[in-house]
Amino acid sequence: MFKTKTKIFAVVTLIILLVGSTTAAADNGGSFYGGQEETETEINGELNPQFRIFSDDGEINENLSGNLDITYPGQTHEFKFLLGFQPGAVEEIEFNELYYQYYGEKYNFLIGKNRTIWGKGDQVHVVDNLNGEDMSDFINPDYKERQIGEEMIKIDRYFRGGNANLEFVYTPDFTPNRLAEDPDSPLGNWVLNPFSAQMTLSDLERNTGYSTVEIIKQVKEATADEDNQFALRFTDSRGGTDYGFSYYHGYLREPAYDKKELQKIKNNLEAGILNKSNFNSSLEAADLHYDEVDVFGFELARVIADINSRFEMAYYRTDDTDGNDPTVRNNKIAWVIGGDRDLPISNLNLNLQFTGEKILDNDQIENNVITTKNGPKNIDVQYNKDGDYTTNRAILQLEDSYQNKKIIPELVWVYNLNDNDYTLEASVDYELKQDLILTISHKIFSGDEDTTFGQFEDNDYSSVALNYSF
Amino acid sequence: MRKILENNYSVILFTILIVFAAAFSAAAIDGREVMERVEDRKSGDTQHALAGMDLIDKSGNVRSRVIEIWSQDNKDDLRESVMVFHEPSSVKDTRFLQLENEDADDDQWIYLPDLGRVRRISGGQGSDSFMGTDFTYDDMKSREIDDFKYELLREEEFNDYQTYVVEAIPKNPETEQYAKTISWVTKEHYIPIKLEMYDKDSEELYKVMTVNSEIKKVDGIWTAFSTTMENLDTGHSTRLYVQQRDGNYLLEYNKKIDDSRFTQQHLRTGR
Repeated sequence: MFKTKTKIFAVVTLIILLVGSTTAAADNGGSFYGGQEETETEINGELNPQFRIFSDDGEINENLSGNLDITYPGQTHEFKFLLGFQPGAVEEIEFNELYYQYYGEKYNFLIGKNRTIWGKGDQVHVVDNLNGEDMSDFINPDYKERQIGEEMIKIDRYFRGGNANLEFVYTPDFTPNRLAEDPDSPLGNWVLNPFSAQMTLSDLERNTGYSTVEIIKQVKEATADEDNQFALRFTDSRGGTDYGFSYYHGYLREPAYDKKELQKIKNNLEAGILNKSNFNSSLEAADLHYDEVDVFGFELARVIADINSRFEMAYYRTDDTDGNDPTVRNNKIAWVIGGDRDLPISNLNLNLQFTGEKILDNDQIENNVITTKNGPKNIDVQYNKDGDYTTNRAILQLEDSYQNKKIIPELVWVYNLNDNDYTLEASVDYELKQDLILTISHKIFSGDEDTTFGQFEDNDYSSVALNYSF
Repeated sequence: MRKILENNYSVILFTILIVFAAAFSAAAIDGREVMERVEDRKSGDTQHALAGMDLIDKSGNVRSRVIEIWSQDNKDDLRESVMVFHEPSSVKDTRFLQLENEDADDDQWIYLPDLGRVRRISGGQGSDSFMGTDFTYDDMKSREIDDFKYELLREEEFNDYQTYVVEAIPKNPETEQYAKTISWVTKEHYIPIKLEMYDKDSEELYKVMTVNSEIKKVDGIWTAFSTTMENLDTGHSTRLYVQQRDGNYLLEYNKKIDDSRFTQQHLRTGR
């Protein structure tokens, strides 16, 4: 199914490209300076050799990633081809973008594989739901680099002379977040244990005979595929304020499941009878699936007291509107609020954002209890033993520059306020010469073993990397 | 490289065009009148330029940027400006849009290809370096002529031009970046072809800006094609110059620019 759709998209894109090229040649551009602007095919790209030294075992991992961007940037017709390669990722070579786009006076039309980013937040969003996220390297790459290209049709309609914009997107497929699979990846071990609440991956490996890679693949294969997403977004700018409203229909990217069935894996493990067969059958019975969701979003940006202020809020409405279905995630509200401003010291810029979510009807979650031979057991997929259904995360970035921005030190601290786990990265960029930047950094992870960052406490690393753009 | 563009840049770089441009005027009498004539110079209703910026460190290493700038006054006589980065590759297609408001701060946005979206920004801090150059935001800001006291120090020849040498001392030093400035203004065009800037604390000479090209008329407006700003403290300098496209210098005044260029649509799409 997936391959067929890919082929259709590729053929359609190719045909439109050929037709578009002819038309573009006939038009010879339409703008005032059209005759002077670039319409030749452009080839750009990046190469990123990197060494990572992991503090825990002293292991040095070398890597060479990059991308190749070939664009035909016509005034009316554009074709884009962006190929990324990242050894050690789940998909090492991938078309991140491959699309044709038509630019009309009031309409833009795009067909092909693309990444859209919606929202006003700075590399953190709650209204951006169309693309899956590649977690092969956890959240170490920038936000856009983590986005997985999705085949789509996108129509933009501009109003008010081009200052307001209505976007419509339809994607025939749904791509979930892509979890790291290989603990021996040259990027490091960023495998998230899907059974972290019940057991360790090494317990599972020992009893089932599966490797970690195979266990993650089994979980992925046991999760039902979904198709079709569509979304609308209106953005405008008035009186010094940028604002927007959005709607998304699709799926949550973190799977839900029947916790009762997964509990059987733990029971079998404790009874010493866990094996490949009953592990697979429990996974099958657990009904792993992506919950259908409607997301209603609002976004806003304004400069307040020299602070570039940003705000996003979204209401996620799943099928479990009463909150009492233990296998479906409850409705929730999510937000991003924060901003950045220059400080009157050196060239410092401080960027502070808070993001969080509140799960609604959490009293119903607490009520989803069954009686087992070991006593009462909560079987809701979102059950939290601490009763914590509101989470908050602070993201702080402090950046400076020296020698006419040749040297740029930066500190990034991401702290989860509920679990007290965090990641902290200190880095320095040094522009060796035009388009060649040396980056030296050190990143640490801290927190309890069952927390987002604490689970990677052994993954502290130092990095030496070059970035060459061409 | 993206990082250097994430700070608060404005498209006030269009004012760099004013560094290039000047209008012919009649003879002057005193320091203030010289500077009034500099202030009154015309730079056209619209401007379009391809500009190069060479950032040169004290060892002579050069980092180059190429930008294209469009600017015009809209029907309400408010300034609209767009700037697009062409080079270096790492920041290619980064775009800035600035729209002047009558009774409020200007609207400013940046489109960063690496972020894949448009971001609203505020103006930069006065003494911050503009895009790694030796120009600060303050250097490019327009000023009220009444904010300074002027003195015509002398008249002398400089780089083959007859010039007025005028000292300007701020009336309110707290709000200004320099203790004083001294300008060499050509008698023929009223273009400052040399500008000395003195440090606010030490009162020593801190930066020197010099025009290092001929001054020619473009579309009826006198234009200097190349200027260098040197920071004497760091030894770093910035050469700002009009670039060629298809064998011709790209600097145009009073040519019609489509209003759609100064919109969010253009910022997002480059079209």
